[in-house]
Amino acid sequence: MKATLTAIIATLCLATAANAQDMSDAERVAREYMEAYSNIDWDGMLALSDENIVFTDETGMGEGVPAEGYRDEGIAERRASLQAFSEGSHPITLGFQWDTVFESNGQVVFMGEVNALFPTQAEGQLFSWRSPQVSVITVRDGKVVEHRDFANYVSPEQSMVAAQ
Amino acid sequence: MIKLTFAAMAALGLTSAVMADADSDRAVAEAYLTAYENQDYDTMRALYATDANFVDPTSFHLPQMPPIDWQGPDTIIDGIASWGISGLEYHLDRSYTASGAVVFDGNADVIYATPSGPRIFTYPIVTIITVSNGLVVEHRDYTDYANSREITPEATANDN
Repeated sequence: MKATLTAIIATLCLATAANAQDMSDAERVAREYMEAYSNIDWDGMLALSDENIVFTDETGMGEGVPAEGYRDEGIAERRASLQAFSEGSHPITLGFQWDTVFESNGQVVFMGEVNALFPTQAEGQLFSWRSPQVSVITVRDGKVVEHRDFANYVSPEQSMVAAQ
Repeated sequence: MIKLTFAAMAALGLTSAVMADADSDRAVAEAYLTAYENQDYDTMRALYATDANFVDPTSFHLPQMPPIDWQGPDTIIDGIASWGISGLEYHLDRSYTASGAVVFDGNADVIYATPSGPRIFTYPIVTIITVSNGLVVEHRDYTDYANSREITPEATANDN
């Protein structure tokens, strides 16, 4: 055990000393991908996605959603799901606000909130859907190969807000 | 990804069964996390499903440190025991529950019991505890190792 503990402490000290000040290529790709996601820029997201991208959101729930949540395998399923989302809910923005973003082992972790806005039939009013969110983006060879979302579907903040 | 119709959104927010499940899952996850903070292996073992797994994908390929990816209560407990820690303390920014996944988002202070005394490191972390049928089926961490900081109090550090 002592050998393992010494190795862990050494790893932590090395990691702290290195303290990656420079953004990694993986983080750059992931940030661009999530910015596109936030802005409902599906083409931008898909351009950064690997052909075999896997998307999961095990926290997802609702009518017609499997018990294990959302899952897309491959870029064709991603495109179809994103298009269906646009056609069904007409999102204006997902409005992500991240207070912590870090990268380790090609995994880029976003910790923060989703502040999504949707149109309504009420003039000058939008529907706001807010929730804490974690997204984990795995990047390999400059492409997103895995995207995991976790959000609070059980008790999000939902309200009508004035359109800006 | 939000993929809800407005009708589904309304239904979701009002379903008491969904809320009850979330409360039940949260109680199990919080009991487990408290045991994990206290390194109470007996309680942790009692809360693990037989096929539970413990994984930290951000730990893979770290120098000098074996990947954290263990299956089964005995292997998990042995793996955690190998860290030589005496305790952890979570400081949460957010926590929420949906579909059996209980998300804890914040920082963890980890106390390593070294031969020369305790050394405390803190790091940003997301811990996701997945609960099914009242048992923990997955403990998933995403840890910012590159931005870990040693926060051992000076008096303790000087004693080392």
